[in-house]
Amino acid sequence: MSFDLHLLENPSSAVLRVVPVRFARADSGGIDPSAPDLDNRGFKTDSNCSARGPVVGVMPGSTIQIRVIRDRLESGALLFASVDDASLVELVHPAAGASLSPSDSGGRSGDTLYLRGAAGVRRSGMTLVKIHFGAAGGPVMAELAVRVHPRLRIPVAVHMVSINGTGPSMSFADIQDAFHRANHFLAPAGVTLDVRSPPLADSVTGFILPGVCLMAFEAAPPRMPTPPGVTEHLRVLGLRPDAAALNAYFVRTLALQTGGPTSFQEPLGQGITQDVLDTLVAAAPSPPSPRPGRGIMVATPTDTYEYSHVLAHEIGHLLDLAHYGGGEQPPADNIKEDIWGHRNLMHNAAQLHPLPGSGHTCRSTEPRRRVGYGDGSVGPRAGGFLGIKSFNRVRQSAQVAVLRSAVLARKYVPF
Amino acid sequence: MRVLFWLGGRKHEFIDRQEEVPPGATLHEFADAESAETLVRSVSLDILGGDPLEDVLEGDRLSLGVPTTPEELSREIERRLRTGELRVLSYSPDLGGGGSAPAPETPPEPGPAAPEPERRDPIQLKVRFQICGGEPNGLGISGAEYILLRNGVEIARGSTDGNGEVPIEYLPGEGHVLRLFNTDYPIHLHAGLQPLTSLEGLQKRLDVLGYMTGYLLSPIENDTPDDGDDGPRTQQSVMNFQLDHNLLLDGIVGNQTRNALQSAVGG
Repeated sequence: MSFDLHLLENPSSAVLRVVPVRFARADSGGIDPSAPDLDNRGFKTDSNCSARGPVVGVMPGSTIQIRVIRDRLESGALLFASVDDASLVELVHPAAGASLSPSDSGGRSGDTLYLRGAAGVRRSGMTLVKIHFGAAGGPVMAELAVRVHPRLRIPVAVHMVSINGTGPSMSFADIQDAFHRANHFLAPAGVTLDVRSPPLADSVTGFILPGVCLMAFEAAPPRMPTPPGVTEHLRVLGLRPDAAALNAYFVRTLALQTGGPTSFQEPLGQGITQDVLDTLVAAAPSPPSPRPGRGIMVATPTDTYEYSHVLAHEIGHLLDLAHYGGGEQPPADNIKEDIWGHRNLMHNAAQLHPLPGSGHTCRSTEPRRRVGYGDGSVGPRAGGFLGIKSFNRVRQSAQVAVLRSAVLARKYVPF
Repeated sequence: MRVLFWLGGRKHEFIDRQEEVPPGATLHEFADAESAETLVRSVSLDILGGDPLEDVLEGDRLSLGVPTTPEELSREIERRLRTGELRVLSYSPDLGGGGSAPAPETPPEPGPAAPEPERRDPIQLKVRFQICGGEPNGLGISGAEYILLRNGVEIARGSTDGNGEVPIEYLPGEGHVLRLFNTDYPIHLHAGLQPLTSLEGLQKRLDVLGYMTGYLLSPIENDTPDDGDDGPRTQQSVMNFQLDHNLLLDGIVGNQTRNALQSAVGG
């Protein structure tokens, strides 16, 4: 097999760049902590851009798989892997001195690296995994940076909130599962949500409708004005907060009040700002606005898979992560409104289903849909990653670092 | 039939028109090692048409072996000329090799004028192999051994430099293949391009500029640079180009992006 190189007869374009080998996520299925997304944002941000290959995160003791793609390389070319610092990352497969094989064997996928974060790592660190041609010491054809992050745990206090006698329809087991899935998104940052058991049972009365919490948007955009006098969500957020935990309040329905006290509709939007139908997770407001508490409110979802994605997204807000840009706001020059931007967990067009006619203005829903996990996948197969690479000019690019700093500062606990 | 060969960086040709061998056409003049090797290879590889002589010459290559010595080459060609197996009645006197071919004492018989030999200067190109596709000056793959083939014959070898670059002296009309990493990379130089408004024209330009190197998020093997589909790779490549040129990042080839692409690669 050969790979054609096309050059144009033009002096200004007489250099053709070829990347024979690259890396990719090992799995084309749903979110899987053993097959993490790569932060492959290799775009140029300045003349001294230091980002070369992709970056991936792993926790000590965890094993991840990374696919090696022979993009313009014969399948028979011998490729070897090496790790610069074995005290951070262990090369599980292929074994030292053995080449990668394009074929599956021994229960392992072909052309796949199996890397394990060294168990004894106590501080975050980074090393390079290199792919060599021909021999273990041959020319370096590709580099993958691996960051090892010791696990940080966030205790989560689950509140099952009864409103006028009507509680959430979601079971505690479902809630535990949702947080478990959300942890998959946070794994590359080494952050784990630990749900305390049993949940706390809370109740409120005097709300307008049973089981419904009317919510207002603290940081409401102009098209979502906060009607005066809406305080139901603030009351929920103030229910017996656990001072040492992230408080998650589960209600049956969250509703956006759009007019007078009896004028409301089902919230259209995942998260707090978007128009969506089936899943709703609301992050509590952030300082310095006055509020009785800090936590998240969660309504019963109909799609638990998307639900975990939004859950991770909103918890990201609670931990200092801003949106990654997106269609609702003009892309600033330091926000990359590209495929990687759309793939980011904190992209503000958080919905995974395209919703024609729903009023959202995201102009690039289609690329986002097409670059989910696998072939043009949507919904359950879609997902997002947290940015690991750092670029001076890209806001929120080092999301993992921001997230971990917020966790260490315990910014998830109530005020 | 026509036999083409390269000598001294220029294209020459023998045209067999059943004429007499001109005096002095012993070909000793260019019988230095380099040109002899070039001649043998060219004769064996560049025969046009289906003349039976092609088989003979192909056999010659096999019997003579490559490379051969200038003396062997000269003797063999002279023998063929003497026996009439090969008639050379028109040739360029500018054959190089340190000597000048004597002018034929008898002019060629009237007939169709021999076509003017095509003489194009070689074009200097570079291919850069690098470990990351996203950056114009991404880290090169240095120290990789390569061979450059022209018409199947090795014309250069070496190692990629510190930038991962390989210099290529490209002769238009000839087949060039760069071989490294146990992989063949045929080189295609495009003088004329599809319109930029066509997907192929767009992808070719992005490919040449190094933007079709891919940031695929999952292993989508069938999304190749020339897949004819305006897939994620093409769109991402457009965005990367736009980013580098301070254009609106929308993945759409509008006027500004089109102008920038035309400025970069023409067409």
